[in-house]
Amino acid sequence: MAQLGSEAAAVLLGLSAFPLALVLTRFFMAFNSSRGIFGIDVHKKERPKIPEMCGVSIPITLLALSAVYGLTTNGQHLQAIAYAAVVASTAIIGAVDDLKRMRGYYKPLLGLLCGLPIIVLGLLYPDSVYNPTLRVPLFGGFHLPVIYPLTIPVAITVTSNTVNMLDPLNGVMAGGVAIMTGGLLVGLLAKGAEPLPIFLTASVLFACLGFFYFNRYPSRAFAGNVAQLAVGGSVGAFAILGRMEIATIVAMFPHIQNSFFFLTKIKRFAEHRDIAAKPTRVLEDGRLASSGSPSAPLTLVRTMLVDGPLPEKRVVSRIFALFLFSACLAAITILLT
Amino acid sequence: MLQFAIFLVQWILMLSGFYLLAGVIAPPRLFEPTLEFGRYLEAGLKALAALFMSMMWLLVWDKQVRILFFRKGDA
Repeated sequence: MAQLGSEAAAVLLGLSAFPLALVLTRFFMAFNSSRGIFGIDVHKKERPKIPEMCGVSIPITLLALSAVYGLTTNGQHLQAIAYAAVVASTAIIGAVDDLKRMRGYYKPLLGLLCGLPIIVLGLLYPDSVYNPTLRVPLFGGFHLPVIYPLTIPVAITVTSNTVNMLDPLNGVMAGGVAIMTGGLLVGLLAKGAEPLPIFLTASVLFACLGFFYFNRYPSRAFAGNVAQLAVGGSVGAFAILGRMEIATIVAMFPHIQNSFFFLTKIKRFAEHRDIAAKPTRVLEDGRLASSGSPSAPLTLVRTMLVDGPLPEKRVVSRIFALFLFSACLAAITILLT
Repeated sequence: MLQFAIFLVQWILMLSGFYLLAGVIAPPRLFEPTLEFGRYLEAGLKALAALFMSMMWLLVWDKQVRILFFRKGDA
């Protein structure tokens, strides 16, 4: 009963991310507009100016809630501190990139540093932050005392940058991550998991939903790198701290495909704005079409358009369907683990 | 639907890969426990095997997408 109570409290605390992110996003829409921080919606014929970096509401929400969680639970404040440090550091890198435009390879390199708080706290307080036994579905686990901590920085930079790479259309990042964390949350609740992973997934889910309200098609607020990197960092952190690494990889199948085919085509870390051959183009009637350029990356959006042009809203729906499918596989993976 | 099938295949391959790792690759002892650094050499070799399997997993994913979506010369 006590366990049920702490699970419910974790979900309720995570649920409070929704109104908080909603209010903060509305605030930053006005604030960033007044500061002239805008982005261009390049997939609309009219190319409207949209307030940029409004997704900063998400890392602020996650930081606030992780502080509350760390202060109100027994023995989990170290994990809350590690999680908050990852979210804050990835958000700072994203904010710098939004304001100063870093070169493409800086973000993956700096992302490596963002995993260090988990390793350092893990070294200082063994068995209190992460567990180096990788749990795998059906077949037990692997104890990896040396390799596991070494992979933590790689995991954080991969998740943060891969989420950063899949926000091409209105609402895709926030909606996609909300769906994948929703699947993970269902799996965790069905399995009767510990409160910490439940809280972490619920807070990301509802923070993303709060932002999604303004970011959905047609967008009134853009996330910015600040939100994309922070959300990706938080996904990596909750996978490690919540011991659901494999299920999170499964939930991120759409991200993995998008990033893998981008990198194999471009063969370097590059910003979308630096790519000459664009994967998609906007037709006269406003629909999106594959550019057909042999040198353009095979992004997920381009894959969705391979059978012919589609309205942006339809492409977003198809990507959400893919996230829903991978989220279901991820929930099953949790139950098998 | 093709994209769903690709995800499903990759998920099944992932589970199969974990079976191979847990059931075939991890258990055997390659070096005598008394051998200096033997434990680390063994862990390194097994990690390399896992890395090779991950590369194969991505290669299969790559081939599926290219054959099912981009076979008409679009890319």
